[in-house]
Amino acid sequence: MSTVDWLVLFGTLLGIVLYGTWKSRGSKSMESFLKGDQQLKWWMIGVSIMATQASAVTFLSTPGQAIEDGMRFIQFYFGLPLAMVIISVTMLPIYYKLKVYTAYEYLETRFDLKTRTLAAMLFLILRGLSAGITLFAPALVLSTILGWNIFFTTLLIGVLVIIYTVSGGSKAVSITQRYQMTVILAGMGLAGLMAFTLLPTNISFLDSVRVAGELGKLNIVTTDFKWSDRYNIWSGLLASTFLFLSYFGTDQSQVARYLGGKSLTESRMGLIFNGLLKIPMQFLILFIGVLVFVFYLFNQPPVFHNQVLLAQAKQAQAGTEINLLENQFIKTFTKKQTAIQQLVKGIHEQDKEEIKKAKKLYFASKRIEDSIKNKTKDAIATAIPGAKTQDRDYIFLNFVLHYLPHGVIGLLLAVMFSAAMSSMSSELSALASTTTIDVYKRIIRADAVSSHYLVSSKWFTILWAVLAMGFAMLANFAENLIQFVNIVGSLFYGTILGIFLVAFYVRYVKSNAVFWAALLAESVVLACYFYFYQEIAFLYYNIIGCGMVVLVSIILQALERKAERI
Amino acid sequence: MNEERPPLFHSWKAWYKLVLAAMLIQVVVYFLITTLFS
Repeated sequence: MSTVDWLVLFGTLLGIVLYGTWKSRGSKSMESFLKGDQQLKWWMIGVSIMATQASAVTFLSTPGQAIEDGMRFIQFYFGLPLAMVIISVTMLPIYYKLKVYTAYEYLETRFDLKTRTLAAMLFLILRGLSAGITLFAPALVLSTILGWNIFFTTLLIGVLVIIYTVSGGSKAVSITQRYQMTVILAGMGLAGLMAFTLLPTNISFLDSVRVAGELGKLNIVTTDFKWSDRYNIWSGLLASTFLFLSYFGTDQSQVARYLGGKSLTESRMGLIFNGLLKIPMQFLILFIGVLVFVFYLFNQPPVFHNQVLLAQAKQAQAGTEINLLENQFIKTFTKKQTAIQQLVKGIHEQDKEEIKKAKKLYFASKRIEDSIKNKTKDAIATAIPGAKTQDRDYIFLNFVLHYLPHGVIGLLLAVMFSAAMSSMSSELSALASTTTIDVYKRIIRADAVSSHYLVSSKWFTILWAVLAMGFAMLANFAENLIQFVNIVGSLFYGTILGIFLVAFYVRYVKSNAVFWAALLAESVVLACYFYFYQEIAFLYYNIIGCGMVVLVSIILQALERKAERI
Repeated sequence: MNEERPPLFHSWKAWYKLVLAAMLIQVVVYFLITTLFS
């Protein structure tokens, strides 16, 4: 990191925070604080929706996901456009008609207070946990890479977000997200371009695509069905649709984004904007990962991408063993080079036999490489007990820091911080809205003046930020970060969506039936997570939770009617 | 509700069809890329 990088990083972050705070100053009522001025145009809503969903985890983890598992993760997003259409047709007009602050207010109109409170509470648990992960993920990776204390990184992100979110509320969130998204897209685009220009001169763009394809990284669509397989076309089209219906239709962090629209038309267009652009955006992020994968075929990668942890392990007691493993890793890379050159030659000459031989040689070298990597991880785990030896989330940032020019490094770090801040601000704003409207104003103190709720909303924003920071400082996750965020979502979204679907479409079902069905469904989903984690991929929790709420509530309602008749 | 006609196509159905068609085309293109390059 040079002075230019620090200037770009802090200049970008402070510039966005100060501009957002200044531009959104003067929120004098609870309505303007929680809903903004409701003047957002469709493209602003679309950008805001995308910025809320794309947290730092997206940009830290996704390229690494592509490097290790190929591009099949994109199938996770196939259900999103369908969800956008369903929400535009069904949920959005109802929210507008009822002029709600939060999605859960509708549930009291349709059912009763306890069902509204249950949904609001499930959201607060889910989003509270997610806010912690949203903050923890970049704080962990950036602290390690930059050599900062994780407490300092967490505080830096948290305090910056608090400044503008508490000052300007929902309006500040939307304004800052526009600039944060500009930084993110510019930074990621530049990173992709740089990754390509760093490839050897005899490798064309098409060559790199062919090499990646031959080595299994262009597995974008996979059609095999298995309950335990997380990403295939079936889980993407079916289970993800449920997840996204719940996330965009009932999660206040997203509902607040489009309720800030100038009109129903602008909000609908904002959702359509997201439906059209989300998959291509994810494709580009994954493809950047593929380019980095190809780059590392021609350039020596480190044996372990979390270099700081590696250095610590060497200093602890595993220095000799790790040095030995590193030497073996370099030797294997030389052998792998022969296979790659043979593969490129085979591709240029369209010689299928040559390609087949090269692939065989490559995968043999890769097996040895993987074995050395695992031994290195074991050595690190032995030297530093409790160390997180999953290094997938460090691959992309490690590449950025070692191979991109100064200035661009600062910009890419600004991308990570901006993404963390854009998601976190939406989450805090939504948590504060739900706490104020669905809990404090509805249950605890209903008769106060608007200014009182404005002040309360600001305090709830700070409270949730402090909780998220505390959670981030104490957390330790073993899973790949982007998967963990989606797992937490899938634990609760199915049930919440089920409640809303019954509310919208099954008029026959009343409050008691849906309430008890929701509690049962949530228990079953949690049981699936704790007892059948390996057998059922987490995306299916969304279908299980949602399906159970709908079916059980219908059965319970029928039983209730039968009992009434008797 | 401040409901207006949508821009460009002047019909929500047309917009929804566009979103779903774009999704389907991408799935097909990605499937072809997967098949062609692996």
